[in-house]
Amino acid sequence: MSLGRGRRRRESKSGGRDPQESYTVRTLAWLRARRAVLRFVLLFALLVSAFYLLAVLPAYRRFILDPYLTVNAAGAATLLRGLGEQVSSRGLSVGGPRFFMEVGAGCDGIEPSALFAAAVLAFPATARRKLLGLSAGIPPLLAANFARILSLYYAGAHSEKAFDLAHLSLWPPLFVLLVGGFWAVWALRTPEAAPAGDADR
Amino acid sequence: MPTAERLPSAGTARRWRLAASLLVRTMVLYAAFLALWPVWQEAYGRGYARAGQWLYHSFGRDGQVRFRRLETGDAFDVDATLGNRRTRQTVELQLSSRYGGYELAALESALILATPIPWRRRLRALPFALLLVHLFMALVLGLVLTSAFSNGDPVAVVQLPGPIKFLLGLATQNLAVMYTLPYVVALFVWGLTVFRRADLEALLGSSLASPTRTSYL
Repeated sequence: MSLGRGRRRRESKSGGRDPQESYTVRTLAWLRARRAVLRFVLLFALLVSAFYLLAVLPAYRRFILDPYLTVNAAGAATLLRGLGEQVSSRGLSVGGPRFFMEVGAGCDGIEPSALFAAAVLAFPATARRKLLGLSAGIPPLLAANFARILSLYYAGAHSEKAFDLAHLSLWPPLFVLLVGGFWAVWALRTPEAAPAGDADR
Repeated sequence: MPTAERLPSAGTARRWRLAASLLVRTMVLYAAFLALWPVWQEAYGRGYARAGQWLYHSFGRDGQVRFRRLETGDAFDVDATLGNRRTRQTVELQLSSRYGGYELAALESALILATPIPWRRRLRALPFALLLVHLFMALVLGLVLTSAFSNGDPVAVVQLPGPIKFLLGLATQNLAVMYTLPYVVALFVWGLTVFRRADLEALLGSSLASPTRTSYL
C-alpha cells in the first residue's frame, strides 16, 4: 500500500499518467505475470469443490465410500491378524478385545487421493504425464490409509488420548503433506516443469 | 543445508530425499509444537476467545455472541453463547482453540521453519504466514457462527436461501468439522509466503512462471 501511495505522489508531481490508472495497470501486470499460478490455484479449487459436492451425494456414500471403507476395515483386520492381533471386522467396524473402532468418512484415502488428483489435473502437463502421475500417486495414498487404520488401532489399544492425538492431530496433516510431497515430486519431474535438459533425469 | 534453488539440478532420487527430509523435519517440528500445547493452552485459548469476542460480538441487528474460555483443560476449551436479542433465546457452541487454531498455526510454523531456505527468509515469512492462517481461521469461525445463526432455531437471525445455506453447510462441514482441507490451505499459505517467483521458476521451470506452454485439463 505504501509503495502504491509513494508512486502515485511522484507521478502526480511529474504530471504523468493518472495514478489510479497506473495502479490498475501495475495490478493487472502483476496478475498477468502470475496468470499460470493463479490459473493452477483456481482450477485446483474448482476441482476440489467438485469433489466435495460429489461427496455429499447419497450415491457417493452408498456406491463408493461405504464399499471402499468396508474393504479398508476388512483389509486392516487381515493385516492386524497377521501381526498377531485377535481382531475381526464387520462392515465398517474393526477391532477385538483390546480396542474396537469404526472406520468412517474422513478416515478414508479417497479424500487425499482426490486432492492429489485435483493438484495433478490442474497442473500444466501433458495428459500422459497426468495419467502417469495419477497412477503412481494414488495407490500409495490409498495404501497409507491402511497404515493410518493400523496405527489408530494400536493407539486406541494404548489409550484414548493417544487415539485422539493420532486420529485428529497427526494423520490429517500427515496425509496433506504426503499429497503435497507426491505432487511436488511429480511436478518437478514433468518435462513441462523442469528446465531444459533436466526433464526425466 | 540444501536450498530450494538447487532442486532442479538434482536427480529424482535426490528430489525424493529432499521431499522426504522436508516431510520428516516438518512432522518432528509439528510434534514438538503439539507437545508444547499444555504450555500455550491457557494463553492461546484466552487469545482465541478474546479475538472471537472482538470480531463477532454482534451478529446483525439481533444476534450477539459471548465467548468464554473454559477452564476444564479439555480440547474444546472455548464456549460461545449465541443469543437473539429479540427472542431472548440462547444456544451454546463448544469450540476448540486447539483444533480450530493452534494446530494449523503449529503446522504452518513447522513447515516454514523446516523449509531449506536461508533463516532470514524463514523468520521473515513466519509472522506473515501466521497472520494469514489466523485470518483464515477467523473466516472459518465466521462461517460456523453464520451457520448457527441461520439454522431456523430460536436464535436464528438470518434466513438464507436454500442453495446458499447448502453451500454454507458444505463449507462448514469441510473446513470446521473435518480437518483435512484447512491443512491444504496451510500448504498454500506456506507456498505463498515462503517461495518467491524466482524460486517457482527455479523449481517448476517456465510452466507455472509463464503461461505460454499450458496444457491444462
